[in-house]
Amino acid sequence: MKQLRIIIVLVCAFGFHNSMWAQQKKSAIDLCDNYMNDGFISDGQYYSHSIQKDEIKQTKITLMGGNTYRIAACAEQSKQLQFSIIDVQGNILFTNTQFNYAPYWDFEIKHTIECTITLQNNDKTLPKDKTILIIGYKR
Amino acid sequence: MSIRNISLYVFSCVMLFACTQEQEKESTQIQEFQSKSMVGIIDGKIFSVPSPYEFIHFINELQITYNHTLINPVNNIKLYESNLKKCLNFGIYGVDVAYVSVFNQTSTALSYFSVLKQLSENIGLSQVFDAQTIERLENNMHIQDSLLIILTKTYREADKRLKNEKQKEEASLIIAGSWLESLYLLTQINKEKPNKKIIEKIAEHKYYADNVLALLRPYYDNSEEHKKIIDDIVEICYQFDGVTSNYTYVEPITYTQLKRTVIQSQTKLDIFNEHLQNITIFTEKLRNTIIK
Repeated sequence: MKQLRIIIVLVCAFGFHNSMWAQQKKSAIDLCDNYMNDGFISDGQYYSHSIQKDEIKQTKITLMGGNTYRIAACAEQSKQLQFSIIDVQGNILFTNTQFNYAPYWDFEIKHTIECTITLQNNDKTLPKDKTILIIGYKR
Repeated sequence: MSIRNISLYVFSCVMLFACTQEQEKESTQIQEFQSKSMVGIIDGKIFSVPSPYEFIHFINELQITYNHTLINPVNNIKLYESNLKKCLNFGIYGVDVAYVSVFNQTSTALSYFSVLKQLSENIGLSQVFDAQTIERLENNMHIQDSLLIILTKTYREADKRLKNEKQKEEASLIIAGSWLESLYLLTQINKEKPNKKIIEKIAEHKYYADNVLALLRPYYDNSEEHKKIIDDIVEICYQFDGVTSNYTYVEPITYTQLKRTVIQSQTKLDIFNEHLQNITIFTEKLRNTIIK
């Protein structure tokens, strides 16, 4: 009977963990959506990526001059999701690793530029993770 | 193994299976969600496409006067029989709503929203224009900002639903329609009264032109109508090849406390008058083919 109790406890704990994990996965999208405040409106699209370990995902984007954008990047599990903005010459214009992996950042664009947003999971304990990138405009 | 142990084993397996099922269900939801972004994925990279909000923002700053003859008449809706035309014109009317709302043309904006609603019923987007949304629109019609927010939300919801239902072709056509109409309005406004800012904005459509073409290319063989429209977009894209860009890196300034970075790098775009004229002519020709 004692053995049964232990197994039930373990199974329930496992179930609870999974339930929490599922909840976390759901909230990655909601979390990113929640960053679209302070007068920012999403561009209407979610940019979703499944990121393998040591993989870098790229999103090519044109940032229009005169606009202020908010870029939010959230992972389902990783707390070390790196997002960077790189220009056409390969210069790093921004990387959130310098700011404690900030999940969102605002960008005031003086002149229209083409650039690439890169996403990378730096939490090496996770072999794979799913990420959401949202780009918002300042109203 | 005793019966009790077998029972425990079976019980554990059932519980684990249940947990895995839940996990897989969640995983499937995320996978489906991920597929919603497919519309913009080309060669493994996601490309940005123009948004009505950006267009509104720009027009708002131009301080130009309203020209009703520029927009697609609402009565034209009865001309659209093919799914291709319905979707392209949904995109066109969407930008027209944005245009009229900038000038506070309340009654016109309402009639254009009504047209969008009708088209949405034909292309499987009717839920986007539910009673609550319409009520919100009517109540907020005098407040431009609220209208713009609703428009953006509507666009976003339409975008989500279309991708969710795996109607990638429809979504691509709506995006193409939006792009074409914003280019059409800009070229026409510039034709009336040439303006350096508008010319720069037209040149910026270079960034979108190839993306729009890439979105539509998979549907080239769907029908003769598809072929003709995509061929005409190729013609416009050729003209955008004449837009030259020159990038200069300038070190960004970051305000850590504000979580803000000012990006100062510059891209200078130059467009020859001949290309500008051709873009104006080809865009008008294609847009008028689509709306009739």
